[in-house]
Amino acid sequence: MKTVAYCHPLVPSEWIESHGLRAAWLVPHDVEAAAEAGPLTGTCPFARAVGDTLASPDEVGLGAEPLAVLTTTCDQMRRMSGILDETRPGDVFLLNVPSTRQSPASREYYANELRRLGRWLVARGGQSPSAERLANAMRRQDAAREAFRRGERPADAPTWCNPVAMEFTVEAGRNGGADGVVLGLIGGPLRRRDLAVARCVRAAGGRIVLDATTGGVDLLPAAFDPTTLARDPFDELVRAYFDELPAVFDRPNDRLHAWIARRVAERGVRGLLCLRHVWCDLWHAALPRLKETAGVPILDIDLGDELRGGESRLAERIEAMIESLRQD
Amino acid sequence: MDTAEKLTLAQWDERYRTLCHAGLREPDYGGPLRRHADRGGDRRLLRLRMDNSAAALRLWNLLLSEEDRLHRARAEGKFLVGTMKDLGTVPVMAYALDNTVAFYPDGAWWTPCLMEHNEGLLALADRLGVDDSFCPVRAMLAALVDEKHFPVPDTLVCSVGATCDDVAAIAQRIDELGFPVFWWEIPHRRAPEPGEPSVELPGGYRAPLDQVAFVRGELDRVRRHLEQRTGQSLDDARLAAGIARANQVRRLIGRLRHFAYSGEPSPLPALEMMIAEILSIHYCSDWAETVAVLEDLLDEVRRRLVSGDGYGSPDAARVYWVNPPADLRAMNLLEECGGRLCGTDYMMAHAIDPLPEDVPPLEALARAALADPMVGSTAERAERICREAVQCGAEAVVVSRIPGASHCASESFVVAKKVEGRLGLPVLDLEIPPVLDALEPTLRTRLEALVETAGNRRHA
Repeated sequence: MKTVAYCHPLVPSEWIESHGLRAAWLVPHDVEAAAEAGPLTGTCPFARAVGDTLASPDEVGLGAEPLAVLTTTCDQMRRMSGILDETRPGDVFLLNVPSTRQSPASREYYANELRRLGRWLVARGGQSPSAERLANAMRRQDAAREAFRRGERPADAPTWCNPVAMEFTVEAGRNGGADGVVLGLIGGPLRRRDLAVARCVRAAGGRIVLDATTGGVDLLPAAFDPTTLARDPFDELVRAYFDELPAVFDRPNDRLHAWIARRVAERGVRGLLCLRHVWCDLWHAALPRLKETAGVPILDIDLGDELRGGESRLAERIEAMIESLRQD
Repeated sequence: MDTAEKLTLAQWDERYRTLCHAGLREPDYGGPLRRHADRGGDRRLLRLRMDNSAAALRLWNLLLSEEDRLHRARAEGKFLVGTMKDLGTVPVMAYALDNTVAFYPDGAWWTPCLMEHNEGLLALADRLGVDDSFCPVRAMLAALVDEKHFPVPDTLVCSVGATCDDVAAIAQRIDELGFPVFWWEIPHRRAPEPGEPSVELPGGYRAPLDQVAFVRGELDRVRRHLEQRTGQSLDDARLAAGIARANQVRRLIGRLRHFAYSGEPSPLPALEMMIAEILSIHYCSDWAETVAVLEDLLDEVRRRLVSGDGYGSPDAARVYWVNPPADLRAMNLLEECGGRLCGTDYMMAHAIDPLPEDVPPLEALARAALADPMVGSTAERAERICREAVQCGAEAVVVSRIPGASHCASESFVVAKKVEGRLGLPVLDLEIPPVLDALEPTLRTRLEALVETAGNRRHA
């Protein structure tokens, strides 16, 4: 079965799977090529790693020639898709996700983009989905997400979120009882090397119960409404994703602020770690207001800088934060 | 008869006196250039070399008086529209209204250059949470907050979607600091699917009709917003008149580009040409004066071409320049190193290409907005650069990198690959900060090497 890799939660994995294809969250190589000077200096390391990985996808288990769906949700990824389109023409689909949701036309635009993605998948070996097949794929994913919310850990790497985020839940003691200072995560998509953050949190006596990173286990589409799902699964898919899922690129991005503040309060989170990739303007500029709206302190972790210097500096900063939270 | 010569600011003092004695007539924003440096703080003028024509004087005065004119417009009760990012679309709509002035707060990105960082805008942006990992357009955030430059507009309108992350992020920060932004969506321009109805856009790109219709709908939201805020009707007749006015400016700039970039010797320096091109996006807040300035420049250029007057040696390397440099001095530097401009893409080709006048006005504006080189793929932009580089006989291409800009990280790579592969031309990737002085020796060496390479290829 052909694999379709994606790395943004606004790409519905159900939609890919309903076309008879395998959806897989793209976990890129950990190689830090972006740190090198050269023509791509200044490129977001995550976007760069995605580009590098799609150039040699075998190494991360995506098969020899996977298809990929990237999104317009940040400029750097949008431009990376253009570079890939030159080297792997026809293998990369750029899904245009509107940044504004003030007008019904934006919703319709997103829906049409999903339909266009569907045609693209069919042209590459997928099968045009019946409403029933789509509904079944949606029910499967919904059930898997619901089971996770109840505390069950999936046996296999999930296709509906970043599998590194799933590993993070274990490393960071999500279900580790009542001990430890309770923290949350916000920021860009996690890479495998970012598990160092989870280790540091555990070592310092904290645990992470909220993951709102891009592709994280908590920033998921809304649960599907069974009635609407039965009547018009495609429209329900659009609702659960486009209407309900807040994102840092939304303009304005009030929904994200409200969502984070609500989750922080619900879960008793006492501090947030913002894990952002170097050059990620969107999370970077969102931080000053988040520090006002989240209701808890935020530790800004620039992943490139922190991890380049080894884990010791990162560990110290996290330790200091947790200590100060304990004293509050 | 005066011959073309680039002058320092000190030399302009004397030149201004001479012009006045000769009966120079100036508009109300006229006067000696010196005052912009001494009273306005535009210290960068002391490091620039400027064309000695009366037409260039008027151009510089129009540019450097914009903030004063905006304050005057506010005092006169005019409605001020701050339009962000789209570069050339929303101002066409705003100027179709009475007593309305549109300008780009983004234009403040050149203030740290002009004032050589003495204005403190970038330091204030740092304190507002937008540091130097962002492009210098972050100066607009600080300029809105400190209110020492342009007046706070009555409304802010920003395009978002297929735009750079810098402006999208900074405009959001502006919104949350108490300056409400009206957002409209510009989608990524994509290639039509096989058999999908599409239309040719100004500049030669193609877009699916559905995308054009979507943008038309977005611009209709902008239209209604402007109507509601100004209390005026912005009907199709008014918009059509606005488009006709925009096209008058675009045609003048088109002629100017044609003469300046193909003329031998070059009749107008690269620096003045860049400023003239940029007038297209919002007419430097005064449409009538922009037309007058461009007509003067065009007269001067024609006069110089007829008399064989101009700049640079006949064997100056013909350079196509991509992106506006953060420091205006870079354009002087190119010529000091033996290069001359033969073509440009300052990220606003869609503001220079004439708007269609044979379709409904919003359709014309939607097509122009989608023709923005920055909303499509860099490869598509590079195709146009290649096409124009061939047409204008370019011998080298400079991609001017804007520090921190999200689009710049990969675009020189893509443009260089396309230009070198397709045309075999040398491409230079230069990062130019708002004040380049510390890097000048390096930049000079690299530009000289580019010019030398172009020369060697010519004689090979």
